[in-house]
Amino acid sequence: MPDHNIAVFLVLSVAAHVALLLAYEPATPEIGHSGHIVQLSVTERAGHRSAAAATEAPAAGPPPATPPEPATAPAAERTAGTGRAQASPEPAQAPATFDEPEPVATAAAVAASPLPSPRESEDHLRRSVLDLFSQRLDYPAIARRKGWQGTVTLRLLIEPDGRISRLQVDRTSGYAALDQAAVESLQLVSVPQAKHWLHGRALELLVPVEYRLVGG
Amino acid sequence: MKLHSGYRLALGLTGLLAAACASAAGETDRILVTATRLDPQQARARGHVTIITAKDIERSTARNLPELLGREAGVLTRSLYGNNGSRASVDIRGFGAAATQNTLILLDGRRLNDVDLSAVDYSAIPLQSIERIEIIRNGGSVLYGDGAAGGSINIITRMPDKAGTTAFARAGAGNLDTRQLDAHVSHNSGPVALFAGAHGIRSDGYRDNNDMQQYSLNGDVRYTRHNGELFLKAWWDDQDLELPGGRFNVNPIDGTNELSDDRKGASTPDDYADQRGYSLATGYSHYWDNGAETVLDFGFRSKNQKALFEKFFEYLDSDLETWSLTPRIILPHRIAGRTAQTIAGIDYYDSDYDSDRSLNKGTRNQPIHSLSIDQTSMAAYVDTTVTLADSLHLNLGGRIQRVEQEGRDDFDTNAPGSNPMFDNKAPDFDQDDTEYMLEAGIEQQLTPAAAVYLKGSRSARFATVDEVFEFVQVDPAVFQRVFSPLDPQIGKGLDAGLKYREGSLSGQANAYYMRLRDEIHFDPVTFTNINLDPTRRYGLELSGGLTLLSRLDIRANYSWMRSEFRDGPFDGNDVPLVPRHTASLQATWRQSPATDVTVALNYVSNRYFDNDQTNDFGEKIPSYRTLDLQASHVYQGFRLAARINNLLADKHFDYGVSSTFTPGVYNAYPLPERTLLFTVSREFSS
Repeated sequence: MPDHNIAVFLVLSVAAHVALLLAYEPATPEIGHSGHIVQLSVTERAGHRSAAAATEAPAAGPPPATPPEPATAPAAERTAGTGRAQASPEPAQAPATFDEPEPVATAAAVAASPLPSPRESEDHLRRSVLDLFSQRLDYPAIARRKGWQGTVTLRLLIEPDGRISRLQVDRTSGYAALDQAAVESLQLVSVPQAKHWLHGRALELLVPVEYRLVGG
Repeated sequence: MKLHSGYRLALGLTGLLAAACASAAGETDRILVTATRLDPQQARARGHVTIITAKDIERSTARNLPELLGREAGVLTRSLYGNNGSRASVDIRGFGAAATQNTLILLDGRRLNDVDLSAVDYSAIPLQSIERIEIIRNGGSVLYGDGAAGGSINIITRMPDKAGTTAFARAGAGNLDTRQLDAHVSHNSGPVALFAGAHGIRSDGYRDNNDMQQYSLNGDVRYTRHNGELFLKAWWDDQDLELPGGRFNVNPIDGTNELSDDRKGASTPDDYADQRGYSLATGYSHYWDNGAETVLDFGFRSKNQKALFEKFFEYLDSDLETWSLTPRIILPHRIAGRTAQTIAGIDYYDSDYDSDRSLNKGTRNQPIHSLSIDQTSMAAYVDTTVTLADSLHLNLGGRIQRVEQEGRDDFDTNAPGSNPMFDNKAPDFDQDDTEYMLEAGIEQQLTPAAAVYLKGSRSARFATVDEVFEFVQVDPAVFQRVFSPLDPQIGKGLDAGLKYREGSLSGQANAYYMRLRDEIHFDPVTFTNINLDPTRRYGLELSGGLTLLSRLDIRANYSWMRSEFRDGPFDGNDVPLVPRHTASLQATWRQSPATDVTVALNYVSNRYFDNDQTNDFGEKIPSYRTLDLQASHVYQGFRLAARINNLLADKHFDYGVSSTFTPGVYNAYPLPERTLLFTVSREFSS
């Protein structure tokens, strides 16, 4: 009797698996990444008050071309696990160490720049960084499976040449996997547009990245 | 863990969310990265599933795991002594004396039921270490294997994920000279997570010669990196337990009624059972970007038991070692455009059981019988859940499992207590069986709050190593020691149910029908394990929960359960030890976030004594009601709790055996009257 059962089972099993195989399709995009609300907060590096003062001063020039509030550019649609097809060119040199002195703008340098205004520069830069980062950030698979959510705040320094020379966790999300994923996704990013907007200045940014699970 | 992880698979569409988040100074906005959360639909179509959370456990008046589980619909519990979960069994759907072999208990997805007849050691698992419990009635055979005819219970222990350090300590004291201490600490920093717990309990017990001491340690280390997780879990436990035996209603020698006149007394003042062991599990899980998870894990468990049964002239010293390898994959995919998830894996278990049986402790170095039984189990399984339509889910799964047992007996004719006239060496034994298990379920969501489901299964159970080695009566005067070739037990079950959840109101109604053939059971007339005549089980399980006035939580469960023979000389009779009705009602009043009071009422109807397959013994194990009370208050960070179990001091018992020789005589195992426990606990975090 058992032999008969096994034979029946094996036949059914093989049939089921052939059917499964024929009908099998890989999973469709399921990992979301979207980002949009990037408004990166901008702070100046400690010790460079002149640049900060310039930033805070009322803009003498025309108002910014776009309002600083939520960016509306749609995130690039990407399929889960397809890699970083739209990654920016990677910097030729390794990022500088955290403690290394960085070239930063001086008040004189800012004042000497005819265009654009620092405020405008920042807005443009923010949007550039938004577009760039939102293409690169993914929800880590392990966190998704385990239901981990949280906001990690990154502190990063953009060099005048667009390199991100410092990238570190300013406030943890509470989950190492989320913190790591954010840092590692952005580690080799450079912001080519920065050269155009920074005019020799360096900018330190605080970037909160919120990982959130929805629906289901 | 397999099923648990399965539930947590996220499926769905990419979310594009914009949130204008409240900003602290200098952080006006954020990048939002979203993914679809775990899909609870993956838990669909698995039939009657109950989840008990850590919060439920905290509010419950249950003192230990078997008590906690036994209050759920369709789940029975039986305790021999009522001493903190030792020698207790959990029985889904009425298997009576063979409960442990038909309800599969898992700790973090790993089997706790051993290949011998020993009970699962619930007292080694402190309630405070549990994150959640999943009770899957009529399920678990495909994912976890044999021995889940009634169902399976997966106990998932705490493993805090969040960064930081937390600690918990609890001390308790109660009557019966009960003292307990629990502590655990978890630390999570960067990629490393650590958890360590310690648990100790001692009690004199209600009965004479029923002291219990139980100590356990457990640890868990995880290293997470790039969507991969390395883990190592370790567990150590040590239990010393004295065994007082039963109490006669009519003592065959002096005619006294021990049960009413001396219910706390011990019939076996020197018997005991000590058990110590450890387990290790290590492995690697990888979480892939397409949502798949692969797990390669490896386990080892070692257990030693020493027990003295003086009246049976037996001292037992048994070692059991089990190696396991259980790789698996959880894969989200699509079938014909439908969202699906498949879990597939291979389970390999290799157990070595060595048992020396001597006359008494003094002659333990000269065993009469030295048994050596090796059991190897190899299985492969596939389980797929498909969302056929937005509100329609289908689950299909199959497993094939092969079990090989080899037994050898060394019989020493010169050992003290050995009598070659009446005993012999059992001939060598070699048996293998292959069986398959199936599960199929379908669930239709009727409204956002209500769903109906149907579930079918085919389960299998192989005889344990203790069941195959026995004395067989070859003619009225001659017994012979043999390894019995018992056939695998096959069960076929069907469940249909309705579940409802809206706001604070929830409820579930489930009807089931199960047929078994070759049910493996101890025959009290021949003192052997046999394949029973076919049996059937059917019943109704109702459960509900309601919150009133935002402060009063009420939970109620009721089961009507029938277990009966459907052929042979006992045709139509009830299977012993299975009550037809059980009910529990629990109400928690949350006076404030710091203060709550819980009242619980439990009812178990009468049932036939063990041995009374003929159902004509005349008496039954009486029904009983118990009332429990618990109050807790948080004062300056300390949680103070007082609990009274069996407030009305009802004199009841869960287990009794009727005499096969003397009409009207039975042996019962009295349970404690009123017990008190005071605890103080505190959580620390940084």
